[in-house]
This record gives sequence, structure tokens and C-alpha cells, in this order.
Amino acid sequence: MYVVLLCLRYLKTRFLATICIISVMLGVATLIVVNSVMNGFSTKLKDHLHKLMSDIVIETPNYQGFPLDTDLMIQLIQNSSAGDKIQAIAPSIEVFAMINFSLGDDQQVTRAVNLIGIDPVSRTAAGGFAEFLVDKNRQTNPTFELSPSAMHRFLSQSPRLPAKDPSMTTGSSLNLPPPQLDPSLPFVPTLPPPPNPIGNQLPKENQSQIPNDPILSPTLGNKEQKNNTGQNENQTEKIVDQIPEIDPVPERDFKPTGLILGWALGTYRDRNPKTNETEDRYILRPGDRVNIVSVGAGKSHPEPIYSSFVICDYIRTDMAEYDSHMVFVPLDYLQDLRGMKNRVTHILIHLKDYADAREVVNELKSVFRDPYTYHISTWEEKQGALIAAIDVERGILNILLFLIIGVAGFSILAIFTMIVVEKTRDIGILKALGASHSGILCIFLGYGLLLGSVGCILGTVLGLEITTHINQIEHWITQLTGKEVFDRSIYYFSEIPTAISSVMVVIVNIGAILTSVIFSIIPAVRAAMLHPVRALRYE
Amino acid sequence: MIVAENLHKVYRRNADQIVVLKGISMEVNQGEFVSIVGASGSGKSTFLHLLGTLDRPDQGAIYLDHRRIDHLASKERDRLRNQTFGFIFQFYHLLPELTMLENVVIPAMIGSSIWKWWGKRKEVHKRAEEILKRVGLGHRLRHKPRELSGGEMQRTAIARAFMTKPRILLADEPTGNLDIQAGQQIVQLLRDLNRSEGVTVIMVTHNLEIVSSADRLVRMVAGSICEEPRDSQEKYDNHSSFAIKTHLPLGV
Ligand SMILES: Nc1ncnc2c1ncn2[C@@H]1O[C@H](COP(=O)(O)OP(=O)(O)OP(=O)(O)O)[C@@H](O)[C@H]1O
Ligand SMILES: [Mg+2]
Repeated sequence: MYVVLLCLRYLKTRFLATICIISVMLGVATLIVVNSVMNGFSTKLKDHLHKLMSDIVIETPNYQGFPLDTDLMIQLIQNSSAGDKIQAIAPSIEVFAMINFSLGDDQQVTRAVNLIGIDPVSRTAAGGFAEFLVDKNRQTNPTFELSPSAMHRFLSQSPRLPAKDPSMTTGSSLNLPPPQLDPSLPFVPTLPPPPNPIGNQLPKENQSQIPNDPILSPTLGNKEQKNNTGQNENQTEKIVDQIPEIDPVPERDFKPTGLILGWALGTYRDRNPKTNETEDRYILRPGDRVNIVSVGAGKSHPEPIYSSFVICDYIRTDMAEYDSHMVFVPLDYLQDLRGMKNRVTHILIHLKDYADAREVVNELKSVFRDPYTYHISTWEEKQGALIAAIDVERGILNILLFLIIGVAGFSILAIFTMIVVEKTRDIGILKALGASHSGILCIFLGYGLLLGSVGCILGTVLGLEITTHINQIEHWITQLTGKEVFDRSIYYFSEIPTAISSVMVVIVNIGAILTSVIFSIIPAVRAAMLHPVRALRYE
Repeated sequence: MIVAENLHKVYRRNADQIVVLKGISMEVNQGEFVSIVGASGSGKSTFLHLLGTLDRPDQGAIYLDHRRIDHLASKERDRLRNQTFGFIFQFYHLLPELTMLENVVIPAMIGSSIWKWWGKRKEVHKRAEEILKRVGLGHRLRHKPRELSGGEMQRTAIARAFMTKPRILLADEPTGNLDIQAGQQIVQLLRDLNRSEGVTVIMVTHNLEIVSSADRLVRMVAGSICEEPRDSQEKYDNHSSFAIKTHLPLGV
């Protein structure tokens, strides 16, 4: 009983105890915060990866797609024994491609991208597509149709879009910065108003308006512009300057096909000099035209294919790797373009319960027996290397962080040794009053436990508090120091993601308490072993 | 009741040997008040520690009621120190973190497990308060030791030593740090406990003036005992009677 009393009293009156508690507290708080942030990053990453890949992926290395027709494959999947475990199936084509667009001045940009042909509705059913679209309306009703404003923008600037052969237009549009492409500017008054909010009616209208339609007949459109912009001679001059450079071959077969662009392809990160905050600036907006070059599914050898699309929306997953490489186009269009009617290269399967994944994969493997033609894997297997890397990183970080607790442990050791020295006479007194070895031992072990527990409680509270407010804290530090802690132009997440796992918190706490008890063993044993007479004589 | 037989104690440091006790034999009866005097370094404290089982003799034996106690296992010795012996030191040796009341209660706490303690803690606290009242500190229960004077601290230490109703009080220069008046008070208190409760008191002192209150005087010279004859005690009495008479108004 005196053990408890003395532990409590020593806790209250010792300054050294406060130091001990603080060191444990900081260790615990750091562990919790770092783990939560790491956990947040990896959970968010895994979550997004999982959603983007659905649960199970069947893919083929054959650039011509699966040898079987898509409908047949879907039927086979649904009729297999795993069929009733499947929630949704989304066929898609994934192929490497090059995207090309002009930046308003003389810049022509090309980027390597991953061109994905999907049916937006079935792809959404397979999970993790529509929710990443930037346009809110599209999240509930995923389509490749252009919104009225995008359509307007498209129609208003089409004449100055890059032609088929970029080299022919280089230097032409250099003096036309994007603002002049604004639909409200005076040199485009004759353009038809956004014809119809429903984009798929557009081609018909375009056909009816061929003479006036600048896209379908650029030459005419330019002439018209010449006529109509008489009021603004300067601008007209500029436009006239460039007109001869525009590809004289009108893209008569071009119909605006929607394309969903990865967010990072269409924007760039920049810091606002006034607020010193990073913001995304648009390079491409919905309604802008881009060219895609890819490879067709020719029978004997791959041949280049080419097409133009109009951006209808962005996809924003907050994962730089994906946002800077993904380009979605309509599946049927891509099938036509590549000449692989009814064929796809990927089939995404969304399960009712992900726990069945292994089983379903095995069943599907028995349906599609050729393992080279049909790669069947769960998303985790497919991203195995990345996930393993994340986990390894976390493991190593945790080992390193436990060294922090180790440091706290050694400070406990040092402080306890000091306390024992300081308490030598009291130990002698207690022994003279009949306290046993184990009693003295218990006082100091209990003291370690108590310091550890108090430190843990405070550390847990502090850690959780920091974790939940980490974005505010980051903001605050940034403002205070002027230096960005979480540089948003480097990291793609706009917020620091966190995920607090209660298991982790418990493990950290147990670890910290154990450490403080273990490190108090040596001083406690030394205290218990003190000879009472020597302790009493100690001054 | 308590018998020391031919006690030897040697401190060794490397090759050096410091012989502190050279065969001490002594018998103290129940209820006796024994004073030990002697030059500094003659081994008085060492002897007291041996008696109180805080240390083990190198040779010789100590018997308590004919039971040898210097060989006991440390658990038994802990029990003896807790139940049978009460220690009083020159520098009071109170625990600075605890209040006076807690300091007095501590031996009772040490002597009982948590469960037993829970049952009797009220009763124990009452006894502690009573004892503190008896030593004249009933109003300082919640004070910390550093808020008290030396005399008050020593009285608290006596209260603590007496808490578990020990049979033997071992006092090592209890008045060494106090002025004459406070010293007299302390000795009176011990004498009073000795008379009313029948507790045996073995007290080491330098102060010849307070020796007179003892039933018996033992003189230690360089680790051996020369028991003073009765008449020489009388001499001490005469020598110090003046001081005692003038400074002892507390006829307890
Ligand atoms: N741990 C030790 N190692 C070596 N010598 C010691 C040790 N403890 C005590 N001594 C020696 O033992 C002798 C007796 O010590 P002790 O404290 O018993 O004397 P004392 O009679 O109580 O003296 P005082 O009246 O000054 O308190 C002293 O000479 C001291 O130096
Ligand atoms: Mg001494």
C-alpha cells in the first residue's frame, strides 16, 4: 500500500518526473501522428487504387484484345460458378497513346498517356470512376457528352485549334493568348449559341450548319470572321495573319467526341504570389480539343491511329501517377478507331463481397484457361509491388520511430537512476521501517509504470489532437515560418490524409508503457539492493 | 529479553580492515531504559544497527526472547524491524514527500497488504492521530516535514517508531541535533513511553546531561563495552542534576 502512496507522491513532487512524462508523451504523440499520416496516405492510395482497378481484372497482353467477343466473355463470366458473386462487369480497352494539344501560343505539347476506352455507365457500376469526375453532374450521370458551356467554348475556338499536322500551324497562333479565345469576345458573334444542352444531338446540327460551322469548314468560318470583325481591325489583322496557316483540309469527319482528361494533364500547379498558396491553373478546359495518337489493332502489325477529341471533363483521383496519365474515351469509339469491334483488352469485375476475390479468381481461371492470354488477378496482386513497398516503408519507419520511444526509455533510465540516488536515504528509512526488497522494487517499477501511463495518456491525447488538426497545424506553421511543410505542388493530395487506427494507438501505448517499465527495472533493482545501513548513512 | 553475544563487526575495504566491534556482549531486559555513551567512532551506531537487524554481525549472535535473530532470512528481519523494533535517528529521517500523518502511518502501511490495509486504514489513522497528539503535534497533521522545527520532527519520528507498538525502541542520538530544551523534551517523551507502555529503550547519546534518565548506562570504548558500575552512574546524576532540574519542568 505504501508503494502506491509513495509512487503517487513521487509523481506529484518530482520535477524529474515531469521530464520523464514529457519525453514519453512526445514519443507516443510522434508515433501516433506519423503512423496516422502514413496510414492515411497508404489507405487513401490503396483505396483509390482499388477503386480504379475494381476488384478483379482480366487482361490480355494482346494488343488486339481478347480473342473472344466481349459479349461472349461477359456471358461466360456470368454463367460461371462465380457468376452470382459478381456485382458488375466493365469491359474496357487500355492502350498507350500520345496526347497532343497546343497551348494558345506557339507551344505544341505532347504527353504519353494511358488511353482507356470505357462505357461510362458500366465502368461506374464496377466502382471508382464517376466519383472522381470533377463535374458534379457527371458523378451521378456519367457520360462523355459535352456540357453546354464546354460546347460553347469548343465551337467558339475551333478555328484556331491545331490542325492535323502540328508542324503546319506552329508559329501561327503565337499571338493569340487564351483570353482571346473567350466565347464572349466580339469576333465570334455569328456563332450559333450553344445549340442544345444535349451534346449527342450536336453532329446533326453541325451537319445542317455546315456552311457556317467553323469546325467543319474552317475556311468558311474564317472568311466569316473576316467579315464580321470589321469593327475591330487590329484583332482581325491578327486573325487574318494566321488564317492561311491553318490546315486547309477541313476535318469534315470530325465530330466532337468527349474525352475525360486526367486532372494533372489539364492543369498545372502554381503558387499564387499574393496568398502564397498553391492553386491549380488550367491548361486545358472542357471544350478544348486534343489530338490522340495511338496504335490500332491491325491484323498483321500495329499501325498508328489518329483522332481528335474534345475534353468534356477531368478525372481527379488525387494520385499524381494516375491523374497525369489517364485519358478516358468512349469504348465503342475506341473500338472503331482501333478496328477491334467487340473486342476489349481488359475486363474489370466488381464483386459483391471482396472477401470472395481469391475464389472468384480461381473460378475464372478455370473458365479462361490460357494463362498467357488471360491474366486474371485481384487488384492487390496487380498492385502487389506498390502495396508491398508501402508496407515495407511503414514497417521500417515504425522501427525507426520506436527508437524514439527507446530514447525516451533511456531518459527514463537516466532520470530514474538520479531519483534513486536522490532517494537513497529514504530507501534506507523505508528498510529500517520494515520495507522488503520487493516493496522497494515495486515502488520504482510502479513509478515507471505510472510515469509511462501518464505520459502515454497525455501523448495519446496530444497525438490524436495533432492528427485531427494536422491540416490546420500545417497551415499555421506555413504561415508562421513562410516555408511550406506539405508542399502542395509536390504532393498531389490537397489535404494531408490521416487515418487513426485504434489498434495502432493501443500497440503504441502498450509499447511505450512496456518501455518505461523495462527501463526502470535497472534503477529499481539497484534501489532494492541498497544496503540499509549504507543508505541511512548516505548524505 | 534481547541478548547480544560476543558481537564482532569488521569493515573491509580492499586489504584494509577496520574492526569496529570487538566482541560486545550485553543483555537488556524488557522495559529497561539503557543509555549507550562513548566517543565518536567507538561503534555505537554500528552496534545499534546490528541489534535492530539492519546489519549482520561478522561473528557472535543476537537473541530476542531466546530466539536467534541475526541469522534470519531477510523477510523475517523485515517483519522484525516493522513489528518489534522502532528506530529513531539523529536526523529524524522523515520522508519529505509525505505529511506528518502519513509519515506516522507508513510503518503500519508497510506491515499490511493492500487488502488488509483497506479494512483497517480508518483505525490506523485514528491511532496515528492519537500518537501525534500525545507527542504534542495534534495540530500539525497535514504539514510536510520541512515546515516543522527539529524538535517537532523528532517527536514525529518517535511517533512513527511507536506506531506499530514495538517492544524495543532503538534511538541513535535522538537529541544530537536539538538544543537542550528540545532534547530534554525528547528524552522525557521516551522515558514516558518507556514507563507507561513498558517499551524497552536503547538510546545512544553524547549528551551526558540526559543520561541521568536512564536505568542503566553503558559505555563503549573502541568497540568494546565497559559497563559502568551503579555508583559511577550516580556520579553522572550529580553532575547533571542542575541542568535537569532547571530544564525539566515537564513532570510527565
Ligand atoms: N561502511 C563502512 N566502512 C568502513 N568503516 C566504517 C563503515 N561504517 C562505519 N565505519 C567505521 O566504523 C566506526 C564506527 O562507526 P559508528 O558510526 O558506529 O560510530 P559511532 O560510535 O556511532 O560514532 P558517532 O558517535 O560519531 O555516531 C567508525 O570508525 C567508522 O569509520
Ligand atoms: Mg553514530
